Amino acid sequence: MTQTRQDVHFCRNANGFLSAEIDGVSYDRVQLTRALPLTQPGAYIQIADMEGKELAIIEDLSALERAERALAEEELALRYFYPEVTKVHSMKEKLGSYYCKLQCGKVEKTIAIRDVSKNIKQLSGGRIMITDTEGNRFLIPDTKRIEKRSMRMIEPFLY
Amino acid sequence: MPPRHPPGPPGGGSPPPGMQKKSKQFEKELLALFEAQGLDCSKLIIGATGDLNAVGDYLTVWATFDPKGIYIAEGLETILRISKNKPPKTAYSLTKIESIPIGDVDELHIERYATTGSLIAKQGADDHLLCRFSIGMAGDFQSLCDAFNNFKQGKSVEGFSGSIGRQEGGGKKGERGGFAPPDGPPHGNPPRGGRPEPGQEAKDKKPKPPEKKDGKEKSRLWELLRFFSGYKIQMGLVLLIVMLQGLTGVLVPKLSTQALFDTVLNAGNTDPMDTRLAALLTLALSVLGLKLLSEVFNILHSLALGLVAPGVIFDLKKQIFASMQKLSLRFYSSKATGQLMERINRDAGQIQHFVIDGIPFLLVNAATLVGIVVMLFLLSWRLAVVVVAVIPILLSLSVFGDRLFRRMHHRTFAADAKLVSIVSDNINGHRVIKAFAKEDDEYERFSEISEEVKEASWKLNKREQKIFPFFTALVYILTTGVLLLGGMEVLKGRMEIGELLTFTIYLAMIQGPIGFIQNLSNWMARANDSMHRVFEVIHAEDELPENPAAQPLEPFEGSIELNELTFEYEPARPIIKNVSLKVGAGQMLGIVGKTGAGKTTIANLISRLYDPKTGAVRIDGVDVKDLPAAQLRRNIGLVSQDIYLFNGTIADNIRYADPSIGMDGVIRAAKVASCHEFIMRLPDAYETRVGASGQQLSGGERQRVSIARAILQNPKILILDEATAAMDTATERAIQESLHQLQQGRTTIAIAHRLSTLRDADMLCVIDNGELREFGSYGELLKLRGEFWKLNKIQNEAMAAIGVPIEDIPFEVIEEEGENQAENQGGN
Repeated sequence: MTQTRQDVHFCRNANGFLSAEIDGVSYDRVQLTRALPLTQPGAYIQIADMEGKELAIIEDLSALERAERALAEEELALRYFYPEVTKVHSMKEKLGSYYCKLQCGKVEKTIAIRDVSKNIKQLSGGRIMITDTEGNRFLIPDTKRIEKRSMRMIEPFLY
Repeated sequence: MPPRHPPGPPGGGSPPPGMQKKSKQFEKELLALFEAQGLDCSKLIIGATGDLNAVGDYLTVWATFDPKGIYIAEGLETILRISKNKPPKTAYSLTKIESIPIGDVDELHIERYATTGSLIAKQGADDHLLCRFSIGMAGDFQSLCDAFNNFKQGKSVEGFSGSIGRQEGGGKKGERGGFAPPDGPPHGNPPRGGRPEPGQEAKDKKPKPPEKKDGKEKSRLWELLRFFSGYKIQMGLVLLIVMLQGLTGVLVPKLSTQALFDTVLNAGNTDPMDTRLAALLTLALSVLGLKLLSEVFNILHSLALGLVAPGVIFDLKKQIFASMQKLSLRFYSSKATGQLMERINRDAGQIQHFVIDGIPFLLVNAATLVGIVVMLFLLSWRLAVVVVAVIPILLSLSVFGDRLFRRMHHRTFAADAKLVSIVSDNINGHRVIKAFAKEDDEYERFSEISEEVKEASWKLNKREQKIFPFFTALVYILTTGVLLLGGMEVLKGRMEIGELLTFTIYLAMIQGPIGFIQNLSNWMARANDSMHRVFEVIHAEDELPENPAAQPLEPFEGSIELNELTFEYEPARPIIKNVSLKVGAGQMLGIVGKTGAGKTTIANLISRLYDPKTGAVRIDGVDVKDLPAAQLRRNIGLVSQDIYLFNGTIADNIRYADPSIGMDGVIRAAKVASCHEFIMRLPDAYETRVGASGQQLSGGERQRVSIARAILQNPKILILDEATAAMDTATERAIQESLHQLQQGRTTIAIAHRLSTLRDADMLCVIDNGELREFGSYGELLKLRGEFWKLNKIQNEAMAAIGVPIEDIPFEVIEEEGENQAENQGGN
């Protein structure tokens, strides 16, 4: 059960976008997609052209050369951007939606969450993913490291 | 009426073998009556018992035949006595016997109506009605017809009792049509290779689980107690603690009242003040000590039970769930989903309530009751007798109440289940309800049932309010009586005042347990009702029992053979009628037919989701009943019209068959099923949660996920039940391509409306009204110009009408290429 392994190299094109050379064929711009964004962000990365046609799948990013891996990770980090929540200030319910005041680094944000049981998800490794009504996502990287007061506010919504 | 043919020398040679078993069809006494009418019973071949004569009188009718004629007898059978272990004794009377010369009848057949059927004799173009029967007997009469027709054609005859060969038999071969005749034992031939005769044999030997009906209620409670058996030590401890608790509680009044009044405070006590004070203090302290001890025991027993009860409930729920997995499709389709959910949740909850709250209280109260009664007797046996005499009355009342309430609880439950059923119906069908603007009507419907629930609860409450005061009144009368009698005893000097006081205190105490007994009846009724339903699920017979001697097939090749398969969902309404066909390992069989023709049923029979009524499904020559269910299911992949995705991620759903499969395999399967692309477009890709609480996928998307699931299962036999019906033509093409890849090395049964998707099939069969009409390859069937040709034509015309170019092979082409003579005609 092995994918046909393809020779993949990344570089940046003149305008700073990610390009790839796959089995000797170069593509000016490619996009990367995670197959398992929540549990294994570094595994099974799909490389597709700008029309979305799949070109290759990288089973493990760590198999790449370090510089190219950094390029891929940079690209992925931009595509999968989750502000990291450092503090939960408050959590209030109003008309079925929860209004949540978060501290994400230096930025303070108030988001609305509907359908809390579905949109506050516990992931592996003590991570919590919060999706607001607009589809933005916020990540609590480690429930053990966040202060207890914040955790107490989130805890009742975890299933 | 005597038979027209006097018994004479046998016309058909020696009596057929298997005669000795005929007594199973007709009792000896009946045969004797036939003999008395001049019939030679030793020649009878097969018989059937019906219950309506030709004009529709409800009596007993026997139909049978021998080599010379058909005999229709009328009479009555009366069952004289039924004893448990012996077969019932039956008396017969014969009023009429009619015989028809065998030469006058060309063929026998039956006609089925709504609740009855008729046995019809065909002579030339004429039909003659011989007798009628209730529809349940149709099977027996069908056997009679089959046997007769085979006999008429000079073939060997298969009766109930097995094959009956006939001398001039030999039979025209290939009677069943030109398609590959099933390899199994043909009629009359001895079974090959020592393998037992399929169907009948297996049916007789079908292991019957032991009857569970005996015992009823008592055993139900016992059954519940069985769940405690893993906790014997803990339960022993609980019992001990409870006894001690009861004892300490009972001892308190003895000290606090009797000892206090009769010893310490007694006017006649001449001890010095100090001694009396000291005695008072001791008494007070020991009362306090006892009270505290009682409380400690109370805590201890709650603790011990708290440890046991959740375990018991857990075991119970686990077993309900395990039993539900075992239940057949038939069980699920016969019970509303709401009722099932209700059953699991509410009933287990109810039993939990009973186990955690009820049983400890029962124990404490029983212990207290016994202690009090003992104390009462110690104080004054005269008074105690009066009290004890009343207790049975209270108890019998509670038993009566139990009966009364059980029925009412059942009614409440039934109404409640209906309510839940409506709610789940509404949730599942909300689209239809909205589309038809039926919200108000649904609300009405809900209100109606709600009303029913309300009524039922009201009635229950009212009944309770009527019964309980009665109990209380009895207790009041008892208390007053004791006061009266006890007062007299004291006046007579037979009793101390302290004793009477203590007695009344005990009497007050006894009201606790008695009050509990009132509740107990209620509680028991509720729990009993719940237990009844829960154990119904637990004991529900496995309708598809696995043969204990089942041997796994090594290797599992995947050739399928249907041998005279007949199946009915409801008695006497066959859905599949005598279908026989064969698919070689690795071949593809397409099943075509109108909606409701029985195509899916055939697929269900192959995967043994149901068992056929007669006939057999054989895989690699082995009856599926004799295969281990696990092997069978593992090797049969099903992609059907209605797809169910479990709660979980897409990846988990794809690797449902084997969770150990890595992402490589999942992605590969997804690519084959052409769902990789759309999955990668979802924000969470393979980790998107699907199922009831997850992301909504479209019908086609779900279908493709389920195909990927089947691909990973890697089954030897693949059943595609309208697998691509929910997809657009382009996607269908893509999937057809991937399915084609998938089919390599697998036996495939493809059920489809669109004939074009079945072009690759090695063999095609047309099922109509449960019967096999045509069987052959695509080209052969087109040439037949039968059902298949017609279907094909209609579809081509429809396609042409909407502007799709006709893609099928034009008829001329087939005409040219036809060198394989298609001589396929339907099996029946």
